[in-house]
Amino acid sequence: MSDLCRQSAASSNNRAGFGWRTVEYLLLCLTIAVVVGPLLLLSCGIGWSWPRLLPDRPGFMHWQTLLSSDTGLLPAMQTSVELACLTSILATTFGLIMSRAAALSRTITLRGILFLPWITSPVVAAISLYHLLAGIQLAGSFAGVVIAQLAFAAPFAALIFRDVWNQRTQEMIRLVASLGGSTTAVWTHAIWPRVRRLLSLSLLQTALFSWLDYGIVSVIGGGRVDTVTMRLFSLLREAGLNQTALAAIILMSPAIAFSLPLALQRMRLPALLALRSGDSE
Amino acid sequence: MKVSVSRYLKLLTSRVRQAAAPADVLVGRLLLIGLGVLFLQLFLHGLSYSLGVTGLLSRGVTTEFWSAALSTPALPQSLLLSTLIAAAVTLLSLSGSLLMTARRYCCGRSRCLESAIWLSMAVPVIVAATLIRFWLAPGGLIARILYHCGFLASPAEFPALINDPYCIGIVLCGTFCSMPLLTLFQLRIQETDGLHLYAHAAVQLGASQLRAFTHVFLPMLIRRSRGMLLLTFLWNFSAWEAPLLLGRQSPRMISVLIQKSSGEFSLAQRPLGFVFSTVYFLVGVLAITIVSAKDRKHE
Repeated sequence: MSDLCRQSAASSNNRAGFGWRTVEYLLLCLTIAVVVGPLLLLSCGIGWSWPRLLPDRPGFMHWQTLLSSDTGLLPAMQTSVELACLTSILATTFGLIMSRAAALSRTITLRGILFLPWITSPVVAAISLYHLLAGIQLAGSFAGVVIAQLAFAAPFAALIFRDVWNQRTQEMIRLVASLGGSTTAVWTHAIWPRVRRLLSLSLLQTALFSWLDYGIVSVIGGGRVDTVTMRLFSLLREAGLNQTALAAIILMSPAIAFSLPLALQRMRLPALLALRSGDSE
Repeated sequence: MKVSVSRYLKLLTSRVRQAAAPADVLVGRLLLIGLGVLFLQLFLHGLSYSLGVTGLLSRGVTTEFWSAALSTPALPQSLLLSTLIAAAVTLLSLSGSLLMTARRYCCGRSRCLESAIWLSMAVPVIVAATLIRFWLAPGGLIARILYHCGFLASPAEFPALINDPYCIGIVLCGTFCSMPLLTLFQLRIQETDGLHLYAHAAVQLGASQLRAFTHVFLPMLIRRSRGMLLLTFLWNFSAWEAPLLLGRQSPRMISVLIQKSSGEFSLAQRPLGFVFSTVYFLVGVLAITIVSAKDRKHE
């Protein structure tokens, strides 16, 4: 049925020429304009008095200051990237294993544990965690921050994988196991095909969580783990409108860099371009 | 004979299950238990702090912070406000994501819309809140555009959409940040579980397309995304950055109340913050227990 719908939609698109696809392209452009437009506009200049649409003194002053001076942004960025990579990979791995154990458990206690980070206030949890980590000499260290972030990111990843373990997957696992498959075979033939599609979502989300995390890094890191978010948050809180816009662009850029390939992959731009050139021929 | 076969099958599957309770499940259980112990310890630390057992300025066991916290209207107001905002955001996000899944159901994939979702998912909450300030503030972009079009004479004429009593800015920000994840999740579930096949089967059995969508496809989709919906609710219930930037001073959302009371100005106030966080934790546990119990009933 849906195939029929798709065919009819495709044919109507071809007929109309200016159909839904155009509207959707416009919607995509609108999203980009709404998100990036005001930030780019305000970061390129100084002041923004009413009722002007553009900054009072347009120019790249803030960008030049950021790029030229020794702001220490690069080492902070390196720490942030390392932290995000390590946390996302570990959180996704642990989350996957935990989600399976939670799905197989018959008590609600084990399943409920996955929601604990969401009902614990991050700021207060970080203060309490600091006391625990200080006991094992990990407070104020990179490893301490990774552990603290994992306590929140791994259950989040586990919840992303929660619905993978439905009846169908369990039956596939039982089938592979009953045919003599080892644990590795169960994972490669029964679990991997279902999990594969959610992996990118989990990796991206946990990496973003780590990249944007301010509360945990500021409390657990105790000023010794310097991430780019720490620097930019102080700009967001203290600086003027134009610098805030600049900080927001920098804060957002890795996330865009992560998701742009995925977005482009979905657009299938090369295939689209090939199709267009084929049409013109 | 039938009984013996089913018993044999049951025995076989239980054996297989036992044999297939492999190392990874055991490791997973250990990780879950470790996580549970960690959060229990955090909760106990908070509770002992709120009762004056521990803490830098502790003067021995006391219930003064509990009685002070429970006698102020700030706590019930914050809990109610957080619940209403989280419910509104969850409903709006669900509506938006269902529109996307309905579009996918009837007209196939839209790569363009999916790209828009991936891109908007990359916008952090703090940036989304900043953007909403830029657009919707009385002196923001929309007000300026309306001024140049002749609809406004001064920023004061622009309706309050941020720091407003109805929390429009917070709800918009929450929806903008929650909807992409929920939509992507539902699209994945739709694809992985082949939900359209069930709807197709319903049509083959004589149901209309609309009925197949509303009575087969939608209930299956919503049932499979309950976990994510609960997560969206809890995530917005505990939202912190958006209410900090776009909310009013009173009433505050629960996270802001906890953070402000956790010793932003003086360490003597910190136990009060721990009282709020303990109440918040208990309310959360209650919500999860109710949802999990319902889940169990359905199963």
